[in-house]
Amino acid sequence: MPCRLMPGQSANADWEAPAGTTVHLSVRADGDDPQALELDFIRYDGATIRSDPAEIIVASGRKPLVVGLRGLSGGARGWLIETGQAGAERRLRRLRYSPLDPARDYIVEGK
Amino acid sequence: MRAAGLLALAAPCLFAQETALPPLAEALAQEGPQMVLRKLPGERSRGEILELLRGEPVEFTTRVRQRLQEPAQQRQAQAGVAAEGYRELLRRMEGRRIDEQGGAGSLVSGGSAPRILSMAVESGAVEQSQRGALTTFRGNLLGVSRWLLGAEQFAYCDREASPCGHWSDALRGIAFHVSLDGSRSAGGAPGQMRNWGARWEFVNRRDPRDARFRAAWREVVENEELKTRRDSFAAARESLLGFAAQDSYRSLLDQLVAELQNPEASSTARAAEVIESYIERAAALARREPGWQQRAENAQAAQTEFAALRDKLVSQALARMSYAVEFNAFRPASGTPYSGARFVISGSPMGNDRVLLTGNAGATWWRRTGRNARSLALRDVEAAVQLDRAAGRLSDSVDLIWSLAGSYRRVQRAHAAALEARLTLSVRGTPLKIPFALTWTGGDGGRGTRDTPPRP
Repeated sequence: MPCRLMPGQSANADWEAPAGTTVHLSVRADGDDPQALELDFIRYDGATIRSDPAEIIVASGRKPLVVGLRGLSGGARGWLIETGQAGAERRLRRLRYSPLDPARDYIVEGK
Repeated sequence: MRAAGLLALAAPCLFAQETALPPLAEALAQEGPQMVLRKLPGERSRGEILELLRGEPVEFTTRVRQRLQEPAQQRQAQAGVAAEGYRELLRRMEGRRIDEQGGAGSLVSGGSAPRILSMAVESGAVEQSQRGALTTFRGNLLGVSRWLLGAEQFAYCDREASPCGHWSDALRGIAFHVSLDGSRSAGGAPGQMRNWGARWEFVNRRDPRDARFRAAWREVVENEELKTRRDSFAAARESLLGFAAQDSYRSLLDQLVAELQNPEASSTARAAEVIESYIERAAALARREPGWQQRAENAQAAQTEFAALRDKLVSQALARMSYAVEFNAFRPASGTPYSGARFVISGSPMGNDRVLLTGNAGATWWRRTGRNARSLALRDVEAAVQLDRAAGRLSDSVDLIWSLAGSYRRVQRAHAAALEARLTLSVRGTPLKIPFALTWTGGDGGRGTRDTPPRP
């Protein structure tokens, strides 16, 4: 299964994918300590997903995607990634953890 | 046997401060935004530019909200709604702590020093050497230095964009106290210093490399109440973002990206102007969005509650045992001055912050001066234990804390023991704690003791 989220072609969305596509999202910390920055939750299309990687099915239209992070200390850095088959992964966004504001917001457009 | 009444007023946090949201240019001067702004405008990617806003969406949302308010409300909002809410929660938690040391006349040294500065006034005391009112100031070196420098008290210790710095770790565990005699004892003037001391809490488990910290962190992540708060936070955040998916807002983002990629926006100051203008336009759009402001407030409140509970749970998990050493110097109204040291161990047998067990062991000594040499003479040895329990509410605004304490002291050849039952009224939303104590002291009446050291 290849990575499916494509960068938005306009300002309308951060990423786009065909509606109904299954996407797996996770967080990869910089350095050799995976616990330094982890995926806490994904909120998408009215549901909170706590598994890691989080599986979402792209809904039709523009939908907010909230990525909750947890880190061992403020300033931890990493990447939001999409995972595919056979360990394939693609970096989507650079992340920097703030304990006071532990989430990031994006827009995904299902076409 | 002697019964002594003890009435003390303790304000553990006299100097809480308000901190304003920094100007946008100052926020952009932090390391994260600067990594983007140092690039030539044409080399800044869209993702990087949008991350400038997402880097601190709470702050950003607060800035948008400020522009929706009337001037008077704007001044109030200058404190930064979400960040201020978090600090307020920390202050309230600080006020509900049961482990802080109060006055100097307490039987047992408490497990923790106040975060900033405290004052306690005691009338009567356990020790016979103390008469009249004693006023004790306790302070934390980090809290007081931050206060003197005008720095934020409850700053979040973000290691990279940190207002805390590495000095915080060193200073946080160091506390001091000074007790002043308010009476005209032994012919002296009121305000004479009766004792002073320093204290070092030497366990810091907030080190991400510490295995105990990591274990505590795992435990917190699985906490059910935190999961509920996390779900509320996630849902509130999502509800806020309907606005961000609209065409009008997306085209506004397009304009922002284009302006920040324009060569004219090479300086941080110019970038701040561009973003300020964008915030104004975003606020204009938000004004047209029914209910946006309420949703923003809900999202910020949910986020604050989530972060505060997470940090409280981590603190509880880490605070099961704490250790400290104290040094004290005493100048009694009559008799020879002496010094002492004490080891303090404190922890919660229940694994929460509602029950606390504290133990002390220590000794005091005189310094003797002979004809040819100086030496130390043991004055007394002591051991004490105290149990504190949060005991519910007296009313909506007053919490109760019960404490039972016992101490034993061997003074030269004499024995002295004391038991104390204390009820502390903690006034919610204020730093005020009012303890009422009943103390029983016993022993052999101090036979064979003296106020001066034996001759060398």
